[in-house]
Amino acid sequence: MQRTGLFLERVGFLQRLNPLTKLTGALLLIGAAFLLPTPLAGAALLVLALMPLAVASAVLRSFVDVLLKTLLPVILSLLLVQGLFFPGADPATIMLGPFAFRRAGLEFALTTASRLLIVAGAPLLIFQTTHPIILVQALTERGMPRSIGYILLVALQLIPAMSERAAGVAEAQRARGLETEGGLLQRARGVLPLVSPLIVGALVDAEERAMAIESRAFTAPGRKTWLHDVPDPPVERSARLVMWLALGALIVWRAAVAVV
Amino acid sequence: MPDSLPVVELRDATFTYAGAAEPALRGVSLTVPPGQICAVVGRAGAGKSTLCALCTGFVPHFYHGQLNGAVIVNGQDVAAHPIAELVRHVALVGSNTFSQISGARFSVYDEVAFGPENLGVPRHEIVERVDWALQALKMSHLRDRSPYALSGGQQQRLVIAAALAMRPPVLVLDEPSVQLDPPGTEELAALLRALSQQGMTILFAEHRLEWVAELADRVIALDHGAIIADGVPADVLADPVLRRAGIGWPRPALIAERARREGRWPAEHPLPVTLAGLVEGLAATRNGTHCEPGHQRNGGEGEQGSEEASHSNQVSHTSLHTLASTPPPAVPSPAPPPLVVLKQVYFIYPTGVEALRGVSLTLGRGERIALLGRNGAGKSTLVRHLNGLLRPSQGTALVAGNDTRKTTVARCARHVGIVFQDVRNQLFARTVRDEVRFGPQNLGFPPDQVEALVERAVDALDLRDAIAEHPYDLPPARRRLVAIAAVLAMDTPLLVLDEPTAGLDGAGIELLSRLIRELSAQNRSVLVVSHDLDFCYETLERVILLREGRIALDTRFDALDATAITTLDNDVGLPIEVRLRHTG
Amino acid sequence: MATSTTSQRGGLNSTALALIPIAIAINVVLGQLVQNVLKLPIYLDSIGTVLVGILLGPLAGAITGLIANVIWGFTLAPSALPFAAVAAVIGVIAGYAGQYGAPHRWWLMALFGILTGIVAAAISAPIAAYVFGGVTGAGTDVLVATFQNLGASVLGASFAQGAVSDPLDKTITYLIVWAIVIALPRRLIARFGNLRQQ
Repeated sequence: MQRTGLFLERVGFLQRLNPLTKLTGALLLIGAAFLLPTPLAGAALLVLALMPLAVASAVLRSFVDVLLKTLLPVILSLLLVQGLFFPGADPATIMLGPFAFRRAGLEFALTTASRLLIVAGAPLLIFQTTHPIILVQALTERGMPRSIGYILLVALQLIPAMSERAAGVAEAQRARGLETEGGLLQRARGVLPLVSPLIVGALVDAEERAMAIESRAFTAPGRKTWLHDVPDPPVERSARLVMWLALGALIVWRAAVAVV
Repeated sequence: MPDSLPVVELRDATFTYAGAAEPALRGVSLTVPPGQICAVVGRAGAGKSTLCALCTGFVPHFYHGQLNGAVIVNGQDVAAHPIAELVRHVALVGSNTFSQISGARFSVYDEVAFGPENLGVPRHEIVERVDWALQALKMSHLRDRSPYALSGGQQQRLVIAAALAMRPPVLVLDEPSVQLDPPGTEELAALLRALSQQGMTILFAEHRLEWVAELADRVIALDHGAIIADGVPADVLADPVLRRAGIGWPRPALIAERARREGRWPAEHPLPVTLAGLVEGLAATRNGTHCEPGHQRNGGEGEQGSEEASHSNQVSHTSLHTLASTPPPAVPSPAPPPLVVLKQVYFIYPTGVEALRGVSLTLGRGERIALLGRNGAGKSTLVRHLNGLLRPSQGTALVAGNDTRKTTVARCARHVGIVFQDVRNQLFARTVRDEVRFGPQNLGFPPDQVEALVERAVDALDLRDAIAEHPYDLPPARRRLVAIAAVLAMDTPLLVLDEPTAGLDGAGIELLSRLIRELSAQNRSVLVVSHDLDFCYETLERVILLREGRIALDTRFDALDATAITTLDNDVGLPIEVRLRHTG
Repeated sequence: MATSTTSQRGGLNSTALALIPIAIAINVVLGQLVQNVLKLPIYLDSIGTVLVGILLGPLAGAITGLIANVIWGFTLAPSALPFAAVAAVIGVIAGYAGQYGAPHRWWLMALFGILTGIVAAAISAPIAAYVFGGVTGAGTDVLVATFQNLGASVLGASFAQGAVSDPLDKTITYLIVWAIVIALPRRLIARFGNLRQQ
């Protein structure tokens, strides 16, 4: 039963790291993709950093899979829309068959696409190699409100359950003669009978869930304990420090170049 | 604390919910000693849930209102302490297990640890507590499973384990059996007994009186928020005041009372409340009484029993088996054309699960049918074939002569109405009237006929007083009646009810039973899917047993032979009256 | 009996903690239901956010939107993450709509829907333009191309595209929430507390 989002039960390099280290790394990579002066920085980082990490963490195949599935339509659309309709006066064009692609537009599309690879790829790799509860615990121990972590974890597990409930509502209402096929207007009439029971039922549930939250002392004041440890060895702390310094250096260097 | 001190003590407690005109509890005084299993019975809306919430602090801290009198639980004044503190003294387990699983943890083990984590219990002690709680509930082997991958009964145990890990001396359960099948309820009873033997005090609200009789040390009956009876089960559950209040009696008491009326149970013998008590009492009086053939069935209008003939070989058990009544004889054989015909229906889910494997079935007019089977036997899949929600992978399903592959669910809905078990999936209107109107309106009846159908359905389910109310402002048991009324109003020749008695009180079940008989007298048919075998036996006549996607049995309750009884017993158990006949 | 156990940590009591995850799941599930079962050309992926905003207030609304997008990123498309800020603002506006008592008048809800749509378009435009180059890979990209062809900049075209499709989607969302909220039992509305009673 897949109730942990994108997380994959594998053993490897990233799976052993503290989530904070991975988050810092992602931030550094995203910063580099935007700050490095070459348009293909993102693509280079994908090949040189993310993919080797994915290999070391035994998730390469699904990493590439999900990344392509989510980004391919965006990148194709980028090339078409910006290649053909990029605003600006630059007249340079490249003919591809009958289509006149604008040079500036293609450049813009490639730069953006290359950054997108990192903007989407770095978090994806974290999600695929970090169990949500470890991520939440690491962040909570670093000062994130407990309620935020709670909401995140519960929502993650409730989605399949609500899906089932939605299917149950559709069955119950169709059995009462609700027509869910037919013209647009006919189908639009179905929105309320399908959406309402789901939501009203959920609100009633919320009251019971609230009682359960209090029964389990979640809102009780005082110190809390965690059943499990999220290790954070000194090596990783040092690594994070180095990454923050690198990010700072990148920003300073970039600013200096811009001023000169 | 010495054993004599009560763990739960209510002194003249009266509570009125904010905005309510009437108190939900009136002058309730109650003391429960340590280790006692105390049951609370009463009709829907009698105040059972309020009492549970009061003993755990949710009244008045979560549900606000006016509380008078004193409530002391494990030495704590409930009104003066927040729930966060009370959880160390008393735990509440509700009937809806799903909403009590926190969802914040991904394994059974971590879920049980969630409460102690929040209390700041040191890690080594959490481990100890979780191990103990899982062991107490015999679920250590499930420790790494996702809480959502458990069966209903396992989830119920998980929720209790999670409560126990907080180490409360008092456990309060609000209708714990609603979502459980018969094996599940038996398991739960054994567990609660074991806990009470370890010194835990248990208070539970419950509708199933037979179960209460087997389990409780003491029973409290509530009516309109006040205690009307309090004592050991043998006294309270056979007290006439319970029947006057509409709570009813457990079946063994009803059966013995009928025997007493017929002169086969000595007037000086108290009425038994458990099956064992009934069997014992009958054995004691067996030799002294004469069997009269043709006794009347409880509630059956003039229908004659005739099992004398069919069981004449069991001479030595005569007095036992004549005591059990026989279902009424068939209504004149169903007139063609049939309502639903399934021919060699196979159904395979996209996941590859083969849920139906060659089911052939004809449902005629005026039939009262029980569809039985274990969880996973294919009951839900079969029901969804009766109106085209699912279409056969192989074979054909005809609804009113139309192949479901060539028609829509909305069109089948004119012929077959289904009330699913989870009422929440159905209810959405602002008033009971609007809710009931939705179905007939969808079917395109003219407005005046829609109104007439609505009125009739509302009266049939005794909802006249609630017609302008919001369905969710009614107690859960009445919500189920609203859902039934909403489908009944569609005036379909076949009505399908999935677990209709779950959470209903005695009066509600009687109402339903009467309704089903009336419908079949009007030549309409009712098919009931249920774990409540006694209800099925008393109200229905045809019995279909599904096993692993095939029909294992398709007969009539009054024609059950020894083989059929064994088959039924192996899969779902037996109704009390059948068991009585065959376990002399 | 004034002792309240619903302690206010971070402004969220147990009722909010219970409702918000459900609302997030509703966002995800309804988006799918409307498109798969009814096949209607709207998204309706912020019904839960608007509902929580109206019933529990701006903060709860913001958290719902924010985490819904994080979850969306967690489970399906990491590219949804940059738009979390937009979802949070949608929740905040809904919180004020509730405090204003908008659900008592359908046309007020429609107005808030239009307003939300325009604000959402305005905030998502720079994100769409700078992070995604103006496109999303969906059918609405045709609109972006059209606007750019008419002479708009990438940012301008992104905003124009949002300004065309968002108000419609959000108005329908608000009207659905209106229909649901007016049909809720009063006891429940009182439990959630943000919505100004009439």
